[in-house]
Amino acid sequence: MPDNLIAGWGNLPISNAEVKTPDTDLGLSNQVSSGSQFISRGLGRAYGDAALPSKESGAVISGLGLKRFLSFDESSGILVAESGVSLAEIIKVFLPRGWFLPTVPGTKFVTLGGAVAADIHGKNHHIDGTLGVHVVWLDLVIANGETLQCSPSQNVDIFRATVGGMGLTGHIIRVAIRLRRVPSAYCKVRYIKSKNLAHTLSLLSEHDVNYRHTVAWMDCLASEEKLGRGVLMLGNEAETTDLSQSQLKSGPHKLPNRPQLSVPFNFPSWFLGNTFVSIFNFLFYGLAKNTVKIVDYEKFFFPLDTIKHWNRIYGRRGFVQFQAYFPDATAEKGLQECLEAISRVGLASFLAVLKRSGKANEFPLSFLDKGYTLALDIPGDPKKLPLLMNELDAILAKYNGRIYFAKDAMVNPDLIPTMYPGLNEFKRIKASVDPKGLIQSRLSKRLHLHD
Amino acid sequence: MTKLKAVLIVGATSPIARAYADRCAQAGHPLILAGRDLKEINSTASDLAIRYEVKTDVVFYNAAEQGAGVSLAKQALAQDLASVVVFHGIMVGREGFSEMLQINCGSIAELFEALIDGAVASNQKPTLAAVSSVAGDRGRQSNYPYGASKAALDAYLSGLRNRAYPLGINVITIKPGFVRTRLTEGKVNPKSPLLASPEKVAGDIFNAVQSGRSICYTPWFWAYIMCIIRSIPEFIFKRLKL
Repeated sequence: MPDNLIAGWGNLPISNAEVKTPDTDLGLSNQVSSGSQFISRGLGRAYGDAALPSKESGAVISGLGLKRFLSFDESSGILVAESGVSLAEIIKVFLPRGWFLPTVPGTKFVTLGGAVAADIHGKNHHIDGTLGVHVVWLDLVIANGETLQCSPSQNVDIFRATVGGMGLTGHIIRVAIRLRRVPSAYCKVRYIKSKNLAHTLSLLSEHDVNYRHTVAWMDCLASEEKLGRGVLMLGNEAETTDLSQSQLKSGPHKLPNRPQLSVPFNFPSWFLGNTFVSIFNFLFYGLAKNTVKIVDYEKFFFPLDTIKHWNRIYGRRGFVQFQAYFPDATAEKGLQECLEAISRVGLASFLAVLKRSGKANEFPLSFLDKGYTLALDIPGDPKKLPLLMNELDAILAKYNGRIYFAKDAMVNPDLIPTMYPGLNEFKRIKASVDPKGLIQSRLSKRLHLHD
Repeated sequence: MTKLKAVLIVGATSPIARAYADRCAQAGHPLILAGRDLKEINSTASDLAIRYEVKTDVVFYNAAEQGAGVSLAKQALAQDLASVVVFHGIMVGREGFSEMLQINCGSIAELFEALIDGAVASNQKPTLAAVSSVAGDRGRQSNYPYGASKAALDAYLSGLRNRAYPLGINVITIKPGFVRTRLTEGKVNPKSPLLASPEKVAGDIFNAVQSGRSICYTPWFWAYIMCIIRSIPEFIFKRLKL
């Protein structure tokens, strides 16, 4: 890629940007208040255009220059850190001491600031909610360069709009977050194979009270009555009594060493064609067994993190990630039609991930509510992709579905006000801290998230 | 394991200093971080204390103040010192030449003289290192006042090395090329192979201190680049646009 081109994790779309990486508080606030339009960016793991500038060669402020731990209170578990620190760093330092994040997304290579801005969720959403509800307070540098401390009791509206606000209220510079004590670095995981979508959904809803972490990997190329069959992974924190002698000996909170694999270059675009994906899914489903295993956190929470640059398997044209939420009432029909549309258009998705979600929180742009959420990758085929996206948009509209801003690259903007009833409130709060509209991303401009 | 001796890091807000402090803390050294911006340095100190569970002390030090080096040397030598690395420096235009000379060379000389005297008196042998620059190897029209201040530092360090050798104290001249910091942001192409990360440079400094080098170009290829630049005859060099 030429020098100043940046993209999200899906490599689609790509933008020209001028990236600044301030490494002091003062440098950051000077950069924010310089008067030019900008958007904040962390590790660039949002899939689409959430951390791309709104106009050609626009400014991007990287949070990666400020990534220090500022304090940790052993009695309450409250960690204060600069926002550029990655979840991987937090885990590396605190898991060996018996602490873990209250929830984690599918990759640990995101910054704390980015995770708060996207109000990320994990496999335990139905029990623990999003990351945002565990934030004790945060410091926000707003467009005029001033720093505001925001929490559920100070600058409450700004706090609510900032968690899940995709960086549009200001640059989150520091976050205080409550970590949780865990008995070990392992999960006790039960695997169950499901026959089809209806079966997958009923198993998930049946088991969600008994398991803290639940997720299903689905085969979306299986045809007709098998569509949506998959493997459920239901996990609880493993107690030390669940661990083997060798796991106990090396320390219950120590993660095993694992070689880091890497995809060295962009694969040709035909690589992830239907044939390959069908074989993979067939093997994945065929080799799975109904069983219980002790699995370490790394493998359970971040299976893809062991392969660096895995996004390159989609080739130079990139891919989009589609993540949709449907409420309980319409989930089955909505999901069924989404899977059918994908298989009809013939854009193979590697694994699709289905997750039960718990009730909504008080943040106007936060993604989830009670129901189900489906996430899958779609190769960036220039002809088929827009057609498929149109179909998916129609399904979302019909069944009260909603998309996740951190993943989106091409949803129909007209659907957003219905999907996010809190949007008007968000716009009002955003305008109060950024009256000149200096903070904009390619995403916020495309979806009209501000006036 | 015996307890490691402390490392004094002067000018601790610079990105290279921060990366170097991280490296030393990772190795288990207690740290003394000195500099002007106490808020920033305290953040770095907290970070390293949390990450690596090492003792970190923060000391106010302003290179522009007369006598600051004497006082810093005294405070630092209260602990057993393994090494001292000085990172501070300024780059301004021709109008600020005397200020640059004072900050980039004079202040370091004041500190090192006090450290040598104090170390001898307290029977310590800390390694002394200062970050100079490849710009000190030859004056170029684009920034020769800065180059001159670094050349003065180089000559000072070379003399001090000579004087400290019989005392068993090693003195190191660190010569980085382009490093990804505020100084180079927007001036050097961010993907240039000549642009090193602060972490890379910090690692080289750490190794140079451990192995007792005299002069350390970082990354290593600058030694060859500067060797060529130094050997261009003056009658040609004066015609170049560098």
